Amino acid sequence: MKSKDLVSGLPNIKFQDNRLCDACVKGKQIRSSFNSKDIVSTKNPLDVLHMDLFGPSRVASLAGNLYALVIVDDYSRYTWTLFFAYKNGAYKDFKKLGKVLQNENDCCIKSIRSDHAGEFQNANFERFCEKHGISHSFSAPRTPQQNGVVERKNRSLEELARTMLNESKLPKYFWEDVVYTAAYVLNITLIIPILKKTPYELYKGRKPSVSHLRVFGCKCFVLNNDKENLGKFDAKSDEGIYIGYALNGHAYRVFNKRLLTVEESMHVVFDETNHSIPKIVTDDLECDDLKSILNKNELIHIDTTDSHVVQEPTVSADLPKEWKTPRDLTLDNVIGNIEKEVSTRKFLINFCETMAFVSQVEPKNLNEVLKDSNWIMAMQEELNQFALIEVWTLVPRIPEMNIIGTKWVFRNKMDEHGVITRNKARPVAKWYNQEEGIDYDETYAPVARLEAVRLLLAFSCIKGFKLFQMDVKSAILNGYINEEVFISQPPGFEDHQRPGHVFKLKKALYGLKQTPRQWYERLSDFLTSQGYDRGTSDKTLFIKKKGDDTILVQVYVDDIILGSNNGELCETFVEIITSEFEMSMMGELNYFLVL
Amino acid sequence: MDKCKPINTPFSTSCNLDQDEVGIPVDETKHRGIIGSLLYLTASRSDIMFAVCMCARFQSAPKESHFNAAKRILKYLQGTKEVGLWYPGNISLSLISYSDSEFEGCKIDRKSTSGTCHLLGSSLISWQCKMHACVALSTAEAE
Repeated sequence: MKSKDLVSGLPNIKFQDNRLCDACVKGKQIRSSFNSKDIVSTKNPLDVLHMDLFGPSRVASLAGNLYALVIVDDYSRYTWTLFFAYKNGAYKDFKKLGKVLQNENDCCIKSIRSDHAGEFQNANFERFCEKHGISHSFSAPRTPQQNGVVERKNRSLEELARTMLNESKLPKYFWEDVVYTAAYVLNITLIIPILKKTPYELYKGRKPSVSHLRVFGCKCFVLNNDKENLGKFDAKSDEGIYIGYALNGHAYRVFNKRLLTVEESMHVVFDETNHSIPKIVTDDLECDDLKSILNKNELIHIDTTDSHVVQEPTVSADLPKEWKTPRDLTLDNVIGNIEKEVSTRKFLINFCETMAFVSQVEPKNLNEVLKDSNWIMAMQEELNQFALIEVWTLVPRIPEMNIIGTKWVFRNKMDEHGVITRNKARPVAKWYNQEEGIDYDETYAPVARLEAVRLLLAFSCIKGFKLFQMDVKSAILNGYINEEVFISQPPGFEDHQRPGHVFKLKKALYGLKQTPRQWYERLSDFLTSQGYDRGTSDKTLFIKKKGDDTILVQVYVDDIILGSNNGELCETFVEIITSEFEMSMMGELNYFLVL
Repeated sequence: MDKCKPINTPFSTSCNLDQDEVGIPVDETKHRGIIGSLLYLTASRSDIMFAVCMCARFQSAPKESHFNAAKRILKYLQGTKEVGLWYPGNISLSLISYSDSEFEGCKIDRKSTSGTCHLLGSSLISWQCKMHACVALSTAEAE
């Protein structure tokens, strides 16, 4: 104003221009601008992955999903879309995809970029990134502009999806297929302006083929291909709606209008004629039909022989005859099944747990066990032991028999430091099915009192005895059984050739009421026959005197402590007892009954 | 509890447990779990016998005071992990028994509790802690 002399009386003041005025900033600050880049800042695929989640969609897709995760590779702009019913599915799916991508390209994801949303900023994601050395950068809070790559891709996908749905007049629950197809098509047809190539070529290093692309939502016919047992003159194919390309594999995804399921098939004939006015009308009608039927969730045969869509079905001759239709449609063939997602996750977690702590856990049921090779080995070992000492014989089942069920019991054996050393599996009989008088008689079995054990310890200390510890392998199985007892075959290890058979016990088995007694009887009979005297007040102590030397044998079910002032006596005892039973000599006593 | 501060005694002399109906209830399963483990431990540790037996009497509707008593035993064990039974050799082979009784120790029904232990030479081989079946009228009767 001064220089132009527009007003009068203005003093001549010079302003210092590099000064930040507080008041001005407070009054006038605006958001910083975000300029688009005209260079590609990464050199290789998987250097940077942008990701964002959109949803929840108001309508669940056919697979029951509400959210879509869009992942864009910074270099190639190749796009992956993942769908899930709950936001917390994001981590699991991303983890899976991340591993696949790293494997596929033989290189690592270097960095991922997302916003601060809870599905990305959580402990699981952090752990995954830490494990794989991925740097996870976040856009500034409330600044989606910084996540522009994927936000723009979201817009493209949503716009395309909306357009395709409107064009084909399909109901909204096809949104998942539309978005997937849009991403698929964009990947092979979009041209990256700076590099002048398609994302597919940049990412995979070869030119994409577009010959298999079809018009989304068009009418098509899918060959039955031995899926059902058709009569000679039944229609060979079903009418369907084409909804995209198979997730993995070389096939088309088709919504079968007759069966109301999504199928993946190679044998599809397309009707891509221009959407004339009557066509659209019929489609509209059909979709309404479809919708009402889907809501009722019933399988009803729809008669789709429309009078005004008379098309000569062209037979494509170049269909490969040996091609098999992928039948694993577990992901999509159930309409609106949201629970499926949950149970899958549970199964996965379970699976991970049993795999990660192989022998550390004690499984609760047989299904868990059969997944773990260590436990199966333990079970097989036990059965081999049974066969070795002839515990049972297989006999055909007679209705009058009182069959006692069996089950497996799993325990981890620990050493004196509490470290798990062995997995032990044992088939046990369900004693509560036993009937007194028929299956068992007397059940009392004497067991050494702890006082008696301590007395023995104190006594041997005073007398200077050397104590040894022995353990009878499968002690209880050594007891002979007097009654006729039949048990069923252990679950999971049934004899497939003789399924109706049951085992007749020759020897006692774990879990039967009389087994401890049978074992004690067997052992005490054996020892008394060898010249040992049974203690009068403590029936579990056996004494043998030979001149001035004494040997004491204390029995605690299957653990035997023996002590003597003469080493030779111990040796002879060990000799005779190992000739009768299968024993494991534990050596000098250092650990007994966790005392 | 594996990093708790050790304490010198397993049971407080001033503490007398009763039903404590007004106390804050605690998790029964946990309380019983602790007591079960402690009872097992009494097979090799005679020093906590009385304290554990005392705690074991209040297993239905345990309150915080009972739980604290059980935790005190754990704290005591923390300080005495190294203690065990010692069976020395070359001593006389004589059986000695000791027994003692308190008088009207139980606040609820005034029953007395007595303890016994048996030694062979100088090695402890058996011990017991038992609440009497009937009410004693004098210290002499209790014993």
